[in-house]
Amino acid sequence: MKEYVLETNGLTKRYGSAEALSRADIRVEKGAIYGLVGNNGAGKTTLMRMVTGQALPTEGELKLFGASGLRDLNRARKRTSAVVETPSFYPYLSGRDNLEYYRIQRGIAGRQAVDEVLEIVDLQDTGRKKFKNYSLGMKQRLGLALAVMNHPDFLILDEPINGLDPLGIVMVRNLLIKLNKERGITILISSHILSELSNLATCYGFIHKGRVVEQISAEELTSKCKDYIEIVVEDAPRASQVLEGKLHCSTYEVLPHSTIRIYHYEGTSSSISKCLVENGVGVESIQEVKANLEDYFVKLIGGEIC
Amino acid sequence: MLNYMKSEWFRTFHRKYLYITTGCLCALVILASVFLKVNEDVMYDMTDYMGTFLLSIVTTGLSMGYYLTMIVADMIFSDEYKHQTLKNTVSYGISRVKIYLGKLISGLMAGVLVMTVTVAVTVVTALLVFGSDAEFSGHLLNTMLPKLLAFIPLWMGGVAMGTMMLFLLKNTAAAFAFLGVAMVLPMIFGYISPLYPIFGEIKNLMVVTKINLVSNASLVSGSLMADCWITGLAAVVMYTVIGALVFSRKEIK
Repeated sequence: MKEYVLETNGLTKRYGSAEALSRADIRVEKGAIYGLVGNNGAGKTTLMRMVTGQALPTEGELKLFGASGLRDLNRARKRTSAVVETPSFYPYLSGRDNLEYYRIQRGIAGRQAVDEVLEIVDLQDTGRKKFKNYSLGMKQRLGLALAVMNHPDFLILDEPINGLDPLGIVMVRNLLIKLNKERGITILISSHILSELSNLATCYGFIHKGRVVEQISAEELTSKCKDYIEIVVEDAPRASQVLEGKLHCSTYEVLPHSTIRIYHYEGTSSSISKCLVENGVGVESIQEVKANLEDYFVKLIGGEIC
Repeated sequence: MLNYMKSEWFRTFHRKYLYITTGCLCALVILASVFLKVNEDVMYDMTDYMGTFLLSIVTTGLSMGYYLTMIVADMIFSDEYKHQTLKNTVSYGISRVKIYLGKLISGLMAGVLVMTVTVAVTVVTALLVFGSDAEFSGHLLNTMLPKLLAFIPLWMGGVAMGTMMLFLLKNTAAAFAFLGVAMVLPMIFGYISPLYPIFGEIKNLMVVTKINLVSNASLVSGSLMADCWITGLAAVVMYTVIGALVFSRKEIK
């Protein structure tokens, strides 16, 4: 039987007449890295804010580690850690003092806990520099340091690589994979950098206009996102006739600018090119394309599948 | 909640706000004493001056302490909404009621600390600048100390009101709301009470009314002392219940 860290049933949040999240049913399995994908304003942050107790649901049920109800949820939240929206700290304190403040508040034993997490995120040499003078990347790292300080079982991260330089992104990716693999920490993560998310996530939840449109495992996504061949031709209608008549290809689509995408074709791109030219269709370009998470998402919210 | 309060104290002591506030109050007290000493010749003879003028200045200063309670509450609340730091605490599962009470109790403790230091500096400065005599000691014990004891619960009511305003409103709005309830509302109630006597009754129950009564009293009677404690503690309970209830439903950003 699957064990879920987070379950929501019909979770809804309304602001006046506007529905920020509508009847969301989410299941985050223990040990998963769950990538939350959606446009700006789709409802990702609203969902995370309800999970972390910052916002109260208008309707629906929320379970964390199987616990529901305000008191039990708060107890369960002590097993979680979250950075929702921008990492926020007291600007007049140094990074170290900020972490020390939360270490005391969370009852984490030993001052070395602060040094350990500062080292993990490579902020051990910032000295007395105040948080207000940190760069965005440093703020993100400090947010992550706080998130891992209490050794959570469930980590909730909203856009954790925003503002990070390439090395910072690699550091965060490696850290999250390490936390997931070595400590078995379940992670709920949202990011606009879908290519980065696809390097991490073991399953995905797609949110569009406040609705969870699909939940899918990384394996399922890979099998759904098959390769396709994209051709730009001089005469698209004529090319379609050749594809159907000569190559017996039926799974293709014609896009604007005389572009054709052919799916599930057993042959090679050069054989298609050769056939089109032999039948009098000029080929401007031809390439084999691997559909990625971004393509899948765009298709999904556009009502198409690849 | 103890851990939460400990963390609040860690932050308060690692910030200049506490030291600047206490330092400014102490500097004002010292400056006032020095000013009076320098102008001693043009004032009354020393005994009268020591017995009446200085003490009336100190009493006025103490009654002003009610308005300073907003600063104490602000010191502990620490712009949580502006810095969006409350979300770190809420998302860790510390209950809203514990956060509220933790802030309130820390605020009351900060108030006690600031008051103790300021009053101690006042007394020591007065003794150093003007010297000690029996009459001054008598005034200190019979007038000042009872007034101070009567002011304490009223100040607590002020900290509770300030804390509630800060939890429910943004900083600037909270400061205006505090001043509105502490200064403007009693005036309005006073003006309309001839037409609507109920507002006169309400005004009589307000903390600021008790502050004025204690300030103007030559001696604090037992009934006035009891009245101050009942009013102050009732204000603490009322503001805390309202504040905690509303905060428990408030969206944290």
